[in-house]
Amino acid sequence: MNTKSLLLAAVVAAVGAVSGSAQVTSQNIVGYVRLSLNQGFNLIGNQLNNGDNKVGTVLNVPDGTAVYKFDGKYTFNSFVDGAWDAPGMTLTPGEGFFIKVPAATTITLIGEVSLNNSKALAAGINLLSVPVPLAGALTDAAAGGLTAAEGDVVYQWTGASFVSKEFVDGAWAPSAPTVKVGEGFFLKGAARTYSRNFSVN
Amino acid sequence: MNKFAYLVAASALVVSAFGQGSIDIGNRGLALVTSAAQPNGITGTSFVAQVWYGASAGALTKNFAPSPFRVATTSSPGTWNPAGVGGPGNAIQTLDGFAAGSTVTLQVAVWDSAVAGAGAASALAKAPGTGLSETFTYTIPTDPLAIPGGMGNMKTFALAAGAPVIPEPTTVALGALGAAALLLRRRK
Repeated sequence: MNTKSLLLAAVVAAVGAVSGSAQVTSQNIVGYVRLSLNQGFNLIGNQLNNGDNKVGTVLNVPDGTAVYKFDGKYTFNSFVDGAWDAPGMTLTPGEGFFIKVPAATTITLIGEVSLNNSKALAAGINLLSVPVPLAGALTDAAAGGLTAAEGDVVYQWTGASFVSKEFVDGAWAPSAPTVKVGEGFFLKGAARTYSRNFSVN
Repeated sequence: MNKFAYLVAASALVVSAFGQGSIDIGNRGLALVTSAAQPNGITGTSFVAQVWYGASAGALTKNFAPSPFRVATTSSPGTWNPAGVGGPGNAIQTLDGFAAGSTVTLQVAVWDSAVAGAGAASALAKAPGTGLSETFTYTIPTDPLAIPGGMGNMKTFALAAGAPVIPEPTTVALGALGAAALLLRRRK
């Protein structure tokens, strides 16, 4: 999976409302992420809030596409004859998932950057993505924002298999994991909360 | 195309794309390697573990590069580090010649690379100071999206008792023999 372009357009809309002496400001960042998918399995994540985040809202994909979510076991959903088998499946920011496409294609995910993100991680294996469209080191506060814990293992998909990186004795081996925009990954570790907030400033 | 046809096509794609099985050759969180001196697990990067594999216990003909154990201060004693210096680089490796769904037999040989002459051969021969696990099996998942396992069936094992056998310095011995022969010849 190659990220051809990411968040090409971002619009910051500030809406101010004055009520008496108090001023309330809301800020929204909207944009899109374009992902090139290889034929077969790709491990990606949705990093933008798009309404209800239902699979049919988030993904615009060719017939024959399948999505696999993981929650201790895989949940399968296929897009056949123009409809998803399980249209209620959601793909929220911070979730990772496999997508299998019948031929190489490019998809565009659109929506709003989720500013406050907190995800409970189960002990063991979790399928995740960074909840905001940022690339870089997974444990860098300015990128992935994940706090590594002793014994963590990150599994990344190569297109045919996995590579693993483990955090032992306070260091990553063989190297610190880095993620691309839109990339999904597995994290095996202790139960805790993964928080990744994003500030416009 | 109907859904059944898609499923058939998808299955064929899986088979063709994942011909070789993968394995995680790390043992962290699993069974350990111990010794009389380090009963909680050996440490020291001069110790190395080499994973051998094959179709049966009598045909363990393939192996991965030896992985060093961890430093003395590690929080994971008794475990080797496939990403360490000289190791294969990553815990997840490809099992040459074994497809998804097949079962592979494995054995782990351990020795101290700082000991002259120590190596896989001495470990496989159960020489003192080396270690050899029991053979165990691993069935490669048929699900291509499964994170591979590998060492789950390995049992904790210890290095064989006794000091490592240090081979005689053959060249020194030969030199001494030669010198003695010369002396004898001069006396005659």
